Amino acid sequence: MSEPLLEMRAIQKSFFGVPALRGVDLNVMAGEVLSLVGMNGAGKSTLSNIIAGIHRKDSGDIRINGKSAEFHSPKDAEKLGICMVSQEPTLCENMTVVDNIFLNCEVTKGGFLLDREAMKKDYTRIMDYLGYNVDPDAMVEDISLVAKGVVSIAKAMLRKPLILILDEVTAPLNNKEVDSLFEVIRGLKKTGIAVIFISHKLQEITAISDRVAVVRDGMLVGEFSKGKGSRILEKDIIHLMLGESEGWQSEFRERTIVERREDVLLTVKGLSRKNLYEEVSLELHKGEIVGIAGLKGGGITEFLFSLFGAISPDAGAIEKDGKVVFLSGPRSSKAMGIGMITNDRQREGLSLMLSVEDNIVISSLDKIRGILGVILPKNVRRIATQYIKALGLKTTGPSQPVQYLSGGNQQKIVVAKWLLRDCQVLLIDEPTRGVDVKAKNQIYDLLHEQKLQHKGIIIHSPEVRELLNLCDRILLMAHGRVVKEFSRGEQNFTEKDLLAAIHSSDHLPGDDLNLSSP
Amino acid sequence: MKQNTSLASKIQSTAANNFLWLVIAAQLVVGYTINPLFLSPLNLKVILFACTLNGLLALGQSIALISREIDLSIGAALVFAPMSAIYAANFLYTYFAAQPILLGTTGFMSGGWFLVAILTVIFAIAIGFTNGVIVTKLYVPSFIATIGTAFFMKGMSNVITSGQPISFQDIPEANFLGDTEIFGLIPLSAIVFLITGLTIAFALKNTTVGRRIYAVGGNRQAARLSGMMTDRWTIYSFMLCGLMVGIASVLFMSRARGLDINQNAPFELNSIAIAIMGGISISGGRGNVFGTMQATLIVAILLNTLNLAGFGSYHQAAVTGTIIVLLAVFYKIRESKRMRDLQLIEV
Repeated sequence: MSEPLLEMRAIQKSFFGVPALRGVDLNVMAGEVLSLVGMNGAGKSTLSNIIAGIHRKDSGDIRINGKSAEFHSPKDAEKLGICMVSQEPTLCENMTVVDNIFLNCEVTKGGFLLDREAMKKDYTRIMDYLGYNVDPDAMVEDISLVAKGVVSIAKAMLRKPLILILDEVTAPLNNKEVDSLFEVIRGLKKTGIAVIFISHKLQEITAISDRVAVVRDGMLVGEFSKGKGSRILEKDIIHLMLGESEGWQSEFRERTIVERREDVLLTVKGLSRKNLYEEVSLELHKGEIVGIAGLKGGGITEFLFSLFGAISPDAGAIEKDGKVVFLSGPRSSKAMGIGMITNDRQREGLSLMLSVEDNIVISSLDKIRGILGVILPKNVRRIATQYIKALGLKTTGPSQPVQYLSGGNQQKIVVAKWLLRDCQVLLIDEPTRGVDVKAKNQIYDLLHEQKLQHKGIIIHSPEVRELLNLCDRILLMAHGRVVKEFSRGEQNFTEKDLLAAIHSSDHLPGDDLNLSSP
Repeated sequence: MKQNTSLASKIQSTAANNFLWLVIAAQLVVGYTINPLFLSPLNLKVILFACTLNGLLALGQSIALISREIDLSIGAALVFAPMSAIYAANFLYTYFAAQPILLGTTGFMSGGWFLVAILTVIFAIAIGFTNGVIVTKLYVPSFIATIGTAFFMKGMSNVITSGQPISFQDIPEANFLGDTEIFGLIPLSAIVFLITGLTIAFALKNTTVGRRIYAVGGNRQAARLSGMMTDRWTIYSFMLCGLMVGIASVLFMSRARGLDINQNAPFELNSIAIAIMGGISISGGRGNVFGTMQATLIVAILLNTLNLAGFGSYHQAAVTGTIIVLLAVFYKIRESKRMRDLQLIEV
């Protein structure tokens, strides 16, 4: 065909002496979708950051359209036609959608004066193309996470990139939204734009990619091409990602789920909170993992928060061990043996500046106190080391600040924190968001262990496969109500049935429920 | 989303958005009730004068706060910049025109007003530039950096002048700026404040400059990833603040007919208080300078009213403090209502 749009030769990069990329060669052709896959810490984020100008390479060559290119900042990369959309939308929450999209490339009259009319016109054009509608004058802090993702993409599109890097942008999206996004990507391909797509969801990778490049330990270990008629298989990708020694076959390890009927641990009766969720009832048994599936905006996260005491319900009752309880806040919930892992580990799950060990023990200080309430550092260290081993945590040591850990490892720390607490009821919202295959399964193993110890777990996840792999039962919530229940062992406990139910239009909202929509 | 368009809620939302104007209106009524002299031309002039200095300083502080910084050196700069300007002008006049403007050790200045005024503004901007460089290149948080420059300037002011104030010896150009009143009613310095404030407000709202400063204050990382040179814009913010200080110095000197480096009114605290009262957020990126200007007026009227009612400066401080807290509570309530309307829950 022709010359590659982007050529990278022998790219090396180290951080504080630790090599992240050991000599990577990569080509990207115009009009193709190249996916970068690899475990957290394998180097794919570093590679994409270098392409986007966020990090500077230590050595190696980069050529764009055959011409050698040097760039040291995101602005340089932008000038060369490279734009990146990152997972956590980096938008200015204090400004409007339009202002964000046009930030640093505003349309002006006379160089300084903002031409809001022209910007609105361009804005409408881009949004029509993307097929999504966001109020241009809305403040970014007020719009939904999905909308923020769309705005980030629109922002990149405005700069008319030659190469568009999408770094885990599908993490907060459900299947339908991902499909819409993929339609847009296919449209972009036709105009000659090269898309570098990064995701942990192998299903998406195999669906959208023309080529897949697998990164492991700072090297490119293999490539797959979707030639004529051939498909790219997930298991091949996983095999390369993990290396020969692991011998795994699929994304989710086979697990024997033993079913037993134990005592009821938690009963929820008709819990309601205006405009969030309505008449939600469920029973959680000891040794049971219940999953909650559903689209964003279905009130699931808010419902879980209510079980944790962070959002107070308007009506309904919660009973634990047969007794009605009033949860006034996380503190009292914790005291009653209820813990929660939220979906925002960076803001709600961790103190980024504190060390690994401090983050692990922080919810259990009363349990590790010694005489006179003194907390001995050696006790803290001992406990932390135990968990680092048990979870296979990749860190330089218990005293490393958690901000330097990869997403998967950070998530493991949040899990460790609550495991130490030894709650009877564990609520989890998106347990493996942005976590790679290996770490995912390690977390699942831990949850399964908890189940065997007669604990009760409620998990919400947008990944249906995850729920199918772990749960005894799956509840489907739509628009704030429980609409269907799927039990393991029954015929409809399949991905196909679940997805069909989630995306069906049977569950249209009633007139009285007024939920915020994107 | 339900749109409640009844008359009651429309009134409520108009009131919430123009809250500060309502406060001012209420103040005028209260003031007149306490003492009819409140609305006399003389008293109004006093109020407008009081607005000028604090208002300009609050404008500068607002810009700094919006970019998520703080400038605690404006009080020290208010005297250091003009002092340096006077001495520099004196040096230049002596050297080039053999005609010193500072008469010996008596502390009288005899002329050279234009040069002094221009140099004051330039030096004030330079002080802002220095603050900005220390913050961005030396990575010193602005809170600490500006305290440092403040102490330095305070000390140097004392060293250079030996504590002696400088008086103007009847300089007509200076007096012009200080005394002129349009239609014999509105002081020229108040007009300067008004024009400066409106210009800044316009720039922040409708130009790329404004977008840059709000972006840096709102999410520095996002701004950087958009290709902005964030360090540069932080420095520009400090320089703009310096510009405000420079203008304030010039007006102040012309009114006071001189410069006394020993005055130690809490200019920094006042400027922060006024900015916050006007709705500027201390964590950056939010608020607008219209609110700052309104808050300046509110504070000026408040203190004037208390004066007329016979309360001394200690009472005034106590009342001001209470108002600050009340306004902060009001803003918080408004924010909560906004979040509730949009069905956002704060966990």
